[in-house]
Amino acid sequence: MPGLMFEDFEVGRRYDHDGGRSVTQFDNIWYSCMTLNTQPLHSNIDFAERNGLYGKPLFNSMYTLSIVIGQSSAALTHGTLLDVLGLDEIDFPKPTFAQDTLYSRTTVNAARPRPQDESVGEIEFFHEGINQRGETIASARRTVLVRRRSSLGRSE
Amino acid sequence: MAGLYFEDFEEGAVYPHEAERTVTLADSIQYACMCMDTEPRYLSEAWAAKNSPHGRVQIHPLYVLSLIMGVQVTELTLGTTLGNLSMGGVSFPHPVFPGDTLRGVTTILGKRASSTKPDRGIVDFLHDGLNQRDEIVARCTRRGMMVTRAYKSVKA
Repeated sequence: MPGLMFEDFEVGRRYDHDGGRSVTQFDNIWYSCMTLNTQPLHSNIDFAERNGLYGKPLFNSMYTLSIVIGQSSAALTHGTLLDVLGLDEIDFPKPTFAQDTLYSRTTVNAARPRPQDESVGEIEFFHEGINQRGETIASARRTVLVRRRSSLGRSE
Repeated sequence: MAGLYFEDFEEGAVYPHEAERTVTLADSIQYACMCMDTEPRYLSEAWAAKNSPHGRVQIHPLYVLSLIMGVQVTELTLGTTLGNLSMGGVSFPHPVFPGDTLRGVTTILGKRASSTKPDRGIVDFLHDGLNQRDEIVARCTRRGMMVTRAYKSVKA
């Protein structure tokens, strides 16, 4: 199922994404390895028990954010995304830990055509991550460039 | 611990980070999979050859950002942070492709002591990611909670 094109996005509409993703301490350590992140607060349980605010490893917030956004792509922009223009107002109101389950929802904040290029348009999303207790654990504004139906040469 | 304490941060200080890393197609595919992100522009060479203006897979921008967040840890926050509070102003001025080599540079934007907890304070960072041609590929600001030397570990 392909993602939505510029014309398909309704400003104000909220999408609750299916699935959900439980996160583990293996994820946390592997993420540190992949990103050269030497922070023991994420990858060293012994250190986190002795020094962390919560007495256990904090789940990497960049990974939390990446899962929250990643879970939106299948329903929203799969194959129609042309570029990620930027993100802003990224917040982590509550910490995430191993064994938490992350759900995502996305609201369409704005849709802006580009007068100079009718084959593309900008969509601004508000992404939210919610854990198994219904607490918001991450939120961000994200602006992407997507295809328009009028775009020529597309092969979907 | 190798990171800096709250007292050590000086506004305007610039830290080029030692760790650098070549990123590969495998990194992008694995990252997208780890984040439940089905976007073919990060996953499929066949799709990218046919549909991407670049004609090839682009490295997942949130992987690029995560790597830039990762490489700053060793010099700045290793064992001296309590967590990441928020981020903003994220942009990706140049795309990253398999085979590019990325490194990070961090500028200290400012700091503020906690008014209620003398053992910690807030530091504002500007993180830049650069490729082998010294082009900026990712940029963001970040607010982190850093400990002072007075911080006592949880189980001390």
